[in-house]
Amino acid sequence: MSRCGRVEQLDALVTGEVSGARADELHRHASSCSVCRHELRWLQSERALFAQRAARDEVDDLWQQLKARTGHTPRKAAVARVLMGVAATVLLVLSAGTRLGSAQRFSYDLSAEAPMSVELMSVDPTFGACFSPGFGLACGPALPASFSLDR
Amino acid sequence: MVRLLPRRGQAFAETVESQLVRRAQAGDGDAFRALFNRHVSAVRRFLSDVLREKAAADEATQETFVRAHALLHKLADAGRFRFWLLGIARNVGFEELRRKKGDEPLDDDGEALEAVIPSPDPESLLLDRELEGLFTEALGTLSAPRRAVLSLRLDHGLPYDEIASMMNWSLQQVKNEIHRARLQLRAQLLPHLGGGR
Repeated sequence: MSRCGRVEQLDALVTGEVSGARADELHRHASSCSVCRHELRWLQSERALFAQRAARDEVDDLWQQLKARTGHTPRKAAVARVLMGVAATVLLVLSAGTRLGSAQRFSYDLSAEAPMSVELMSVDPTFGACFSPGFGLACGPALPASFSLDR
Repeated sequence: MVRLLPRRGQAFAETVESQLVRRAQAGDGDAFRALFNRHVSAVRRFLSDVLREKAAADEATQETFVRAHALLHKLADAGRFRFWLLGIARNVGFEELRRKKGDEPLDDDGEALEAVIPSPDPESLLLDRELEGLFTEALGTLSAPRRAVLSLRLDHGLPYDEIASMMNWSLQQVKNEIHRARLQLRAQLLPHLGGGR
């Protein structure tokens, strides 16, 4: 423990929370105060150890695990487009006054590179659908509540 | 016409992140994936520090992002995403610890460690896995709350007041616990870092 009483200031110096003239002053002080110099070395060593550990982190597999946990089955882009076409047809029918018998959920890939889970990417018909009446498929504003598929 | 520019790179990065958060809140899956990629490493590292078990940390990391996705719409300040995410991770980690009720180290008041610990020799910092293993082992001797706050401060760079808010501690308690954690860590690492006074 620095009996000089500047531990917190040195900590802020090492984390970059202190800069400019104040940082220069602390550096000058540490160069002449053995207690602070000692503390500064430790603070720098600790941060270096955490930084080394962070640099070795490997998390490539976690996205796949997240998808597996949420039950997502990757879809090919072509299949996704077919489903989107089906969804568009259904919504066209709805807009003409026809009602479906039960609620449906649609899921689709935004990207073949980064498919999301069914739960994460399912389109709730009350918002976020990629359908614009009269223009076919295009991501647009949320559907009005009257478009709900629930009976 | 005055154009406002971010003063530092960090400010610019925060602006980019805020945009990603808002897009993710609007349902953009790619934006959420981008947020995941930006933060998953830090979240898992923090949970590894808290839980001390890779498998548990991986599971808790997934849980953190599942909850984050479900609750993202409640995040009012897009610029606070990292702090908010680490807060979820903190809750997930400590919930898991309570569930396991395992053999967590107990805290001491750190008084016995107040004796002067010699300085390390920075030149002897070994960039190898052995020292990293020793470091991880030393962290494991701290209690979970101390590991958490030390990690939040030294690894994730959170200010003391944010750590206090996340842990629901007073500011002074945070400072005391980090100080004691440091003393414990130093006492164990010193033989491997060389040096003297």
